[in-house]
Amino acid sequence: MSDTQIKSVALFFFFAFFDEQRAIELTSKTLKLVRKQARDSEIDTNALIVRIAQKIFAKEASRRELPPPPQDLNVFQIPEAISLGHLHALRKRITIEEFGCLLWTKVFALPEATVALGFDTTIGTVRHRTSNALKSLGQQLPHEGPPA
Amino acid sequence: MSSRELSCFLCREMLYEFAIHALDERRASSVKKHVSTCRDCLQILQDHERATKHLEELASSKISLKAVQDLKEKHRLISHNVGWRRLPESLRWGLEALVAALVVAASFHFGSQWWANRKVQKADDVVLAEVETLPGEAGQSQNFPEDTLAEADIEADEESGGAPEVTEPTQHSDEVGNESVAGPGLHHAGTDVVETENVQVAEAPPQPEYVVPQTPLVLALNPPTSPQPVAVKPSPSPAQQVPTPATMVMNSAPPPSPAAQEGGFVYRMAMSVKGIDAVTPKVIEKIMELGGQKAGQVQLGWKKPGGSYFHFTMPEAGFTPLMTHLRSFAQVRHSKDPHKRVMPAGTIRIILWVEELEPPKPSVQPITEPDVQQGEVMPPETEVPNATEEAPQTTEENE
Repeated sequence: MSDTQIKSVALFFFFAFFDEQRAIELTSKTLKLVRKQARDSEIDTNALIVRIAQKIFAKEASRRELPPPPQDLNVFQIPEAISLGHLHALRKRITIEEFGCLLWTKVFALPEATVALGFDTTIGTVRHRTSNALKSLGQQLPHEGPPA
Repeated sequence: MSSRELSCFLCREMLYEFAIHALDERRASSVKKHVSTCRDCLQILQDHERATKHLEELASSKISLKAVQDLKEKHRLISHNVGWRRLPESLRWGLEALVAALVVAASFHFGSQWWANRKVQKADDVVLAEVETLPGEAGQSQNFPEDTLAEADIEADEESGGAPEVTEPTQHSDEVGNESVAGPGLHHAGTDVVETENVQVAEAPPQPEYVVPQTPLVLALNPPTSPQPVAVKPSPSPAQQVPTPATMVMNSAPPPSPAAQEGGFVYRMAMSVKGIDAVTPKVIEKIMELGGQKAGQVQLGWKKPGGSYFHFTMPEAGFTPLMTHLRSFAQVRHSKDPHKRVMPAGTIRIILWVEELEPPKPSVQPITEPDVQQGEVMPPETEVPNATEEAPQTTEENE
């Protein structure tokens, strides 16, 4: 697995749980499972990463309550212009499927087909979930000025 | 062909695809025309663009190299651990089959050993006597174990079987003696024909612990079998016969070999007493006092349904005091029988059966010869030569 893939998985779990230590642990777990299943599966590695990460995400999301976004970060570096509060609120508002589709397609720029394969669904479903997530996120973000 | 005006619902359904330029030109133009006239739909489109821009900025987030390296190290360790799966499938199956076969073979091996040890431990292994064979005669004594096993069967029957048999005297024209001989094992007394010239008595100390043998003899006692009474043929040499009144001579067994004549002996005694429970401890005490020690597995005075059983060894010098002591309770019937088991010099082996005295049955009358004399008490020092020369003899004592 490449560094980009490892980085994507780690950021995905950080944005999903807003906990650095937990993100590292779940990343390690995901990489282990991806490495194990990659031999027996003919599915694309990125789609496999999406599938496994989303399964772990759904499983872990039901176990613990979502903590508030961390103030000090040691492992991850978030641009200063970005406030994790918006993402944190979005994580609470939308489903984990919509949140996952939004991250994989818009943040990590995976093709919709790959994400659809990872979610074992259609591209239309991925677009629909992503659209809903974008709409929710856009409503939270402050308006920069009067609409054109 | 004029396009139909889009509703807000349809426009909002296609806004995301319009934003990512996934619509065809006709639908894209329809959405664009609707958005230019609908402020709500335009607002949603702007939200999409704003969110997309926000996420693009979020995509520039980084993770420390150290964390990535740590994750990669873990990944390598995991890959190393699961390297087994990289082997060819045939090789993996072969190795797994080999391991399984080894486990099965080891289980069978140790299981069979355990089973064999269990059987050996359950067997009645008794070391009654250990003899030392001369180095040059080892090959000549090959028949000894078989004879020993035969004797072991007899004694196992005596010690582990039911009550000892008290046989009626065998009547024969040559029989002498006016009283029948009764006692445990007497029915087969003097029937052993053994060759013991190959076995020498070890120079052992007086105590029953014998010389450490070069070829220790372990008697494996088979399950008790009923002893077959065998009659004994008299000694072939009339000159060797000693005219003992109490000698019973039987004619059906082969003559004892010279080895048997030079072999060991066992004293068989029987007595009927009143109050066996009181007599038995006294007999035990006397035996112990005279230096006697139990032989075989059972203790002295082993309680059996009909009486008490004593199988012991003692110094030869204690024979006369023991007989004197026993006679103080009741008359003692005894015989000195040749036996293939050779005891150390100065040590004798005695099998004593003490039973409760019962009133004699009037219907059973022993057949006696009219001119039979009463038996004498024969001290061991005088019986040895007689018994050596006349192996199958039975001495009756009548007091």
